[in-house]
Amino acid sequence: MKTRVNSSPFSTLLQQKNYLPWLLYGLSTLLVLLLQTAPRIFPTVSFARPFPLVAFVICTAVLGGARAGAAVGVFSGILWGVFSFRLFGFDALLLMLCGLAAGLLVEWFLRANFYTALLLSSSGVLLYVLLEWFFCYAIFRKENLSEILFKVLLPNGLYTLVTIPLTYLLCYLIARFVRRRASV
Amino acid sequence: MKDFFKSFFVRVLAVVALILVGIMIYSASTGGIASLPQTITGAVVTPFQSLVTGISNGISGFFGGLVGGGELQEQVNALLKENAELRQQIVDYDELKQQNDWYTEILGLHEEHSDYTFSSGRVIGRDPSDTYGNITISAGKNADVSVNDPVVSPNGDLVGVVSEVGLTYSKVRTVLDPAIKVSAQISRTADTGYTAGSTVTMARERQLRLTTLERSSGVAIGDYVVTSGIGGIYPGGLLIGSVREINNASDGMTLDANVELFADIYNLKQVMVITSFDGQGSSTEN
Repeated sequence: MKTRVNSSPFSTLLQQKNYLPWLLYGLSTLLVLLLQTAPRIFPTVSFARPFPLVAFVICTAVLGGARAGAAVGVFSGILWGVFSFRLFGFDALLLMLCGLAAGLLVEWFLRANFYTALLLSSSGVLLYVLLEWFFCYAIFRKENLSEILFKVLLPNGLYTLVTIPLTYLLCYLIARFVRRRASV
Repeated sequence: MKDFFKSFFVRVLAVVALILVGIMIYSASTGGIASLPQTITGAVVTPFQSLVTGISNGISGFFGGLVGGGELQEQVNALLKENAELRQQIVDYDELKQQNDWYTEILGLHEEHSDYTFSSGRVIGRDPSDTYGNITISAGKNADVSVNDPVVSPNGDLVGVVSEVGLTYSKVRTVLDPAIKVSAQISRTADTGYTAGSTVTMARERQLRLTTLERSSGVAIGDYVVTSGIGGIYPGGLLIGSVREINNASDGMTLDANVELFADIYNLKQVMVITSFDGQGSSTEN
C-alpha cells in the first residue's frame, strides 16, 4: 500500500485552524488504547499480549509527519499511564520520542509507505521493549531480569508485530481523510 | 535539518518533555495518590474502558457457551464455590480451635467479618507489559477506596493490595508481585512467615514463596496459608493459598514454602476491596 504523504496536509489544516484531524487522531488513539488494555480483546498466547499503541504512534508518524507522531505519542502515553504500573509520564515521554524520530526519518530520508511503516514499527517496538526493560527493571537491579525480558517483554513485542498491518490500515484511512480535507 | 532543530515545534517538544519529566518525578513522590493529570485522564478514560471490557467479557462468554462449555461451566462454577466454602470451613475450624485454646477467655469469640466494609470493583484493564497479573479496577476514591486497602476475590481469597488510587479507578498489585509482601501464617499450626512473589514462571503458575518459616514449624504440603493480621494492612484470616512444596531456605536456618494461590488472578473479572476493618492502620509491610 503506497502512500504519497508529506507533513504539509496536517500542518496545512493546523494553519487553517481545522481541528478535525486532532479529533480523529484522539479518538483513534483512545480506541487503540481500549483495545490494548481490555482483558479479552486480543487472545492471550502463552501469557503474551500485544501493545499496538506503539505501532499506532509510529504509523501515525510515518503517514502524518513528525508533528502528528509526537503529538499522538504524548497523548497515547498519557492515556496508557492510567493503566500501566510504570511512572506516569514515562510512556508519554517514550512514545513522543518514538513518534518524533519515526516522523523525522520519513520526512528526511525515507518514503512513507507500508514497508517503511513495518520496518520502523518493528524497530520501534523492539526499542520500546529494551528501553522499558532497562528503565523499569535493569537499573533497579530487580531479580530475574533475563526471565522478564525473554519470557514477558519480547514475546509481547513479537505479538505486537502481528498487529502492525491493521494499525497501519487505521492510520492510512485517517491520513487519507486528512489529505482530502487539506486539499479542499 | 538544522532549521528543524531551531524551529518553534522543537521548543514546544522540549517544554513538553520537561513537563513529562516533572510529572514523573511528582508521581514518584505522591505515594500512590494519582496526580492531577492522571486523575483527570482516568476519570475520562475509565468509563470507556469499563464499557469495552464489559463487551469483551460478554463476547468471550457467548463464544465460550457456543463451544459447548455453558452447562459444564455452570457445574464447574458451582463446584468451585462449594470448594471455597469447604476450604473456609477448614480454616474456620483451625482458627476456632486456636481461639478455644488461647483466646476465648481473653478476647471472646467474634462473628467473622462483621467489621469489614467492602467496595466492589470490576477488572477493567490489564497492562500488556505487566508480569504479575496486576490489574486496574473500576473503584476509586468515589467508592471510598484508599491506598493499601486489601483486595479479595468474590470468594474471599486474597488477591492483592491497592497501590494507586484515582477518582474512578484503582490499580491493584497482586500478591504475585515481588514488591508485595504479606505477613502470613499456616492456619493449622499458626507458624508465621512472609509471602513474596518470585519468578515469572512461578507467577504464571499462580505460586509465590512463603519465607522465614521456622525449621521447627510443622508445615506440611496441603496446609492452608492465611493472612496473619500483623501490620494492619490485611485483616487476619484471609485465605491466600495452600502449600505445594517445602524447601530449605538459602540461609539454612529457616524454611521456604511454595504456595499456590486460591484466587484465579489471571481470570478475575470482579474483585472486592476491603475499605475498612478493625485494626486497619498504617504499616511498613510494603
